[in-house]
Amino acid sequence: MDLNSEAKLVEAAQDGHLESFGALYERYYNPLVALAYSVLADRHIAEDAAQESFVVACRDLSNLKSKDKFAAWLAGICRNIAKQMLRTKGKVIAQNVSASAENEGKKDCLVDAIRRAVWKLPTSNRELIVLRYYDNMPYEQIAQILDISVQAVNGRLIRAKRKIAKYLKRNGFIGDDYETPRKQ
Amino acid sequence: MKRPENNNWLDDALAKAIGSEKSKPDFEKWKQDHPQAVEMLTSRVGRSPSATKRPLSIRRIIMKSPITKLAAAAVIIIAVLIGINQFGGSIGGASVAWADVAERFESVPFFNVTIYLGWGPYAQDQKLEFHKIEIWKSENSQLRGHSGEEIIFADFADGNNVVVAFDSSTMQPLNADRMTKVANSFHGFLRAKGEFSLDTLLMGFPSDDKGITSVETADTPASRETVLFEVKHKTTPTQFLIWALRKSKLPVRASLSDPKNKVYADLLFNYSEKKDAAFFDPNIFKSQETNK
Repeated sequence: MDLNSEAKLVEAAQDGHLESFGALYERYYNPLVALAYSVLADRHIAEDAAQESFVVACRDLSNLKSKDKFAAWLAGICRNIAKQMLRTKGKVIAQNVSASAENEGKKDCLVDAIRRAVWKLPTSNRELIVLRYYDNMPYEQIAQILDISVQAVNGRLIRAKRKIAKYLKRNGFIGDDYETPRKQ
Repeated sequence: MKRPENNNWLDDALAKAIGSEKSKPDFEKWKQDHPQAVEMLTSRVGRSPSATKRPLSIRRIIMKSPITKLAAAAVIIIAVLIGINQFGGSIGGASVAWADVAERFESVPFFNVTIYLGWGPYAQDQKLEFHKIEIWKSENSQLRGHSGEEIIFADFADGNNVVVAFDSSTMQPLNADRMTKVANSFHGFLRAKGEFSLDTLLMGFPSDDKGITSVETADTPASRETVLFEVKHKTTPTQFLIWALRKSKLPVRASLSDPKNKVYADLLFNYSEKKDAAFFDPNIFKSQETNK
């Protein structure tokens, strides 16, 4: 991604050019949905959060000084909105997740167990895993959104996956070799 | 044995568990759904920052107005406090957390704030000047402030408008001229709470010319305990940062930075130091004065 061109887009959007803002919207809509999904665990509400994030971005864009930090700034807005939605709609979401978890327990399926493992991760790890696997997002873009280095993305991703694997092993889904899924 | 992170099946399973069909971003639909946001953005076309109204700077308040440093501190405190209260519930992404902080702060019966005020240098031969100020607020909306050798008492409870100030080294009231200036500045700012908007108080910020956001900070032990808010003017580098405890929702620190005018302030809040009524009673000084 050309950061210079992105900075120019941000600058143009700050000057009120809608097309430039549209380009940023197209670029970051899916990453924001993924980020919100990591908080909300509900795709539809996550899409609402992403859209609302762009409304706030429209309003506050002129506050942004470091144009090369647009992605991280936007992610911060989205994270806050998602958390706010979680507070207002939290019960509904919690019920959905809980019901889903019960069903998942009955099916005893590896994929379902992985979902549970992911949502047991600390927030920062969960964000990273969801960003990576929701849309197969490249490390560079994840690094931009989370405002960390690519090396940090790699390191954190490894640690998060280890935690997931340990959870699966503890619950009998994989063997000691971390290689063979036992239940499907 | 492969390390877990190197197992392809885990990648595949994660993609299966979390992955989603890419929803196509539809900017046209977003525009239709959010006409006000579009209007807000496009209204900036052709508007240069220099064309917007410039705020009255804190330096101008501090350096050019005939008020004491203590009163200047009051400007800052009240600006922060009114900022806290006025913004309650109106912040985009962080309204709930911010509203919690505003509401919690409103409910605090007493507090003490220590202010480190710095300004300058404004010329090559000048140095950065510092000043420490302490202010206590009682359960009955009385205030006591210490600034250098000046001690000021203010009482605005039940419609009172009493401000008296003493020179602590002589135990004498300040001279009439000085007292009037202190009183005027305190009246102007402290009575403003709830009556004036931040626009009139906080450096003349036009109401649509400032923004507040919660700031995501690196995951550190301190950031796990606190949440950080940023109040920023849109066309100047003036900035307030306010830290609040996640658990109690109380602001514990606020920081003002006006680099353009070289004015800085750091405010540290304390909610555990309850002072008795006598502490806020200026008659103690008056009686000492009489005894002399």
